[in-house]
Amino acid sequence: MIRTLNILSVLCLIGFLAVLYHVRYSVAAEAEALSQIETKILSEQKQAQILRAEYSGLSDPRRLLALSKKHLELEHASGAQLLAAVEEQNIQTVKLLRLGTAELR
Amino acid sequence: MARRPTTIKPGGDWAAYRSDLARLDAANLESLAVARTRRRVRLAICMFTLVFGIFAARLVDLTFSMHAQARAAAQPQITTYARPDIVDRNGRVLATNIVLSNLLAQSAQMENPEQVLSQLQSVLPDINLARFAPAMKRGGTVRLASRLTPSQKQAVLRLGNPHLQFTDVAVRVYPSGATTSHITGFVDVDQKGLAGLEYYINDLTDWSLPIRTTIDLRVQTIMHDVLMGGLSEFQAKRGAAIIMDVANGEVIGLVSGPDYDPNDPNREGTGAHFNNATQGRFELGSVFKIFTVAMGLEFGLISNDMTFDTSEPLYFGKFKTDDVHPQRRPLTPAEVLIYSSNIGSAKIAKLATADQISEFWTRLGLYDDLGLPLLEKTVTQFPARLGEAEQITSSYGHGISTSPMHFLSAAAAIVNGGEYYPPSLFPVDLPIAHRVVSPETSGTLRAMLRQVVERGTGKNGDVEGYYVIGKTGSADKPIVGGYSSEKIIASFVAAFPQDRPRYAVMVMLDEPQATPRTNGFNYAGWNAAPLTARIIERVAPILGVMPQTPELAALSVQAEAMPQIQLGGDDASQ
Repeated sequence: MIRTLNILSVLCLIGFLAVLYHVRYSVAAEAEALSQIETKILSEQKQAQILRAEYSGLSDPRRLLALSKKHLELEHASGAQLLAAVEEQNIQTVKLLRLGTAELR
Repeated sequence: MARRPTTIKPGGDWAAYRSDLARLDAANLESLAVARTRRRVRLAICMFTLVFGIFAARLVDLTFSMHAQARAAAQPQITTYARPDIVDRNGRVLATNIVLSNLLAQSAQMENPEQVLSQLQSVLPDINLARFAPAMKRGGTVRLASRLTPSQKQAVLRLGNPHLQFTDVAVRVYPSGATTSHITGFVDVDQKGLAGLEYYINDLTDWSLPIRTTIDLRVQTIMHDVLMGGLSEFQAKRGAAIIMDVANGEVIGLVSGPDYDPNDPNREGTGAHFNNATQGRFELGSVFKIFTVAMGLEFGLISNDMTFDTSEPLYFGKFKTDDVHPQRRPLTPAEVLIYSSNIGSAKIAKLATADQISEFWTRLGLYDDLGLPLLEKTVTQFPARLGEAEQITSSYGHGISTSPMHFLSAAAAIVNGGEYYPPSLFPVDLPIAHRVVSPETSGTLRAMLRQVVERGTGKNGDVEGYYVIGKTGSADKPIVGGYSSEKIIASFVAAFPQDRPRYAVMVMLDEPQATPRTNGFNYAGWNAAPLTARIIERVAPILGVMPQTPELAALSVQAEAMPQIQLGGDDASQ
């Protein structure tokens, strides 16, 4: 019994050593890959940060304002224009309501 | 297992067994020893099994139960030493960090520096590189360019010259530049904040999250556009414009002029770093009459239908108080505001005691430090003692100097239903307010301030559909030995819409000049008021406040139970 146990445990030991060896090296390889990815992430983050800053600069309302003044023949919407839009909307709402009540009849 | 006779090795403590041994034969003796050994081996097996079992169980536990703590401990700690971004209320970047590159040339190792320079010039057309030609000829390390972007760096790398090298440089950038200069502030070369929120960030312990402000970049841009336009149009020395949410004190836009570019903060000189909205202290003048009338109503000193005779200037010792737009007749409290009568407001203030006045100022937060996270702040300067003369002058805003931010927060409390919210640059989740005036007094003041815009000094501050309420202030500037009548501080404080104000706006100009378009006047009604109107007209739709048709406005004013205010005779429309 003891002998069988011994042989078994030696076999187990060899097996575990093999597994351990494998795990150790695969972990090292994974760690290597991870650090590469992390480095890449860091550089991508730096790049993204710059792009974000650049985007913010390009889409800055003041820049857009200047560009629209230069290239578009648009003016600031006046209260009166918005008011007209609001009134138009009110008329549409009233029409819809009437339509609704007409259908009910 | 076969049993073979073995010799017993000496070494154990056999003394106790000596008599037994004498009686036992070899076979028995052997079996006894084997049994003892087996027991020991079993014990050892048990011990080892137990210990390794514990290890194994712990391993299984760690592997499968995934302790959050253990996982966190196993993770490498990524500590960031970069300053946090500053973003506006919609997450738009106001300040951020980027890493750029400086370009160094090892000219000593180059065979043909001039050719390298011309190659570089072709990929970096924006940079004047010709000026480095003599230095390149002399040899040594030459810094050809600083703060190259990654795409520029890539272009240089593509040249494949090993003698061109890069060093990284961390840069704080402000994409909106001067628009937000007095909010963000700026940093020095060591990334240490020297002004604005950047200074506040210095002492912040947690740098892991972006700093979210209440500023709306779109609104801020419009206010900046209008204020800067106004400063040049009216040739004013300086100015400020603020807009805040009256329901929680959040500052949506804050501009001070002159401004500066935080990306290059010292180009305009340090004078531009001064924040006129929070750091500047001004005798704001007639806008204070809002407080005088509100105090009179709130403390029951006056009523809507009382009148105050303004036919004669008011004398107090050597002080003379007179009106700029004299009516020379009895005026109701509403008319005191509409015609901005100094005599009227002085007479109201004379009804109050000094204690009542300072109590009211306390409620209005004028004694507070506001607690804004900006380096640039100030406290109100009060009259040394509140005698009768000071009561009179402070009732129309002289002898008391405060910042536009202090003033706007207080004015917002008067019109928002009567509750004071301290101004904040950070989002307010749970607004904490204290009562300044009753909702009724607030409603009365709103109705009066609407009249100021409809028929009084604030006509140019109205915007169609928004029913702006407001008050002008054109205060003579204090000079040595008295007040100048040429140099004034012009301000307009407003809120919209009338029935239930959502935003309060203030525009202040220091020494605006008369222009042909203002009919030769330099009063606030001709400069600060129209600037405020321009701001409201453009920001209201962005803030989701739509204009109202006259019928709708009349309905909602009724719904809010706007009190009737007393107006005088026919000449009220003058």
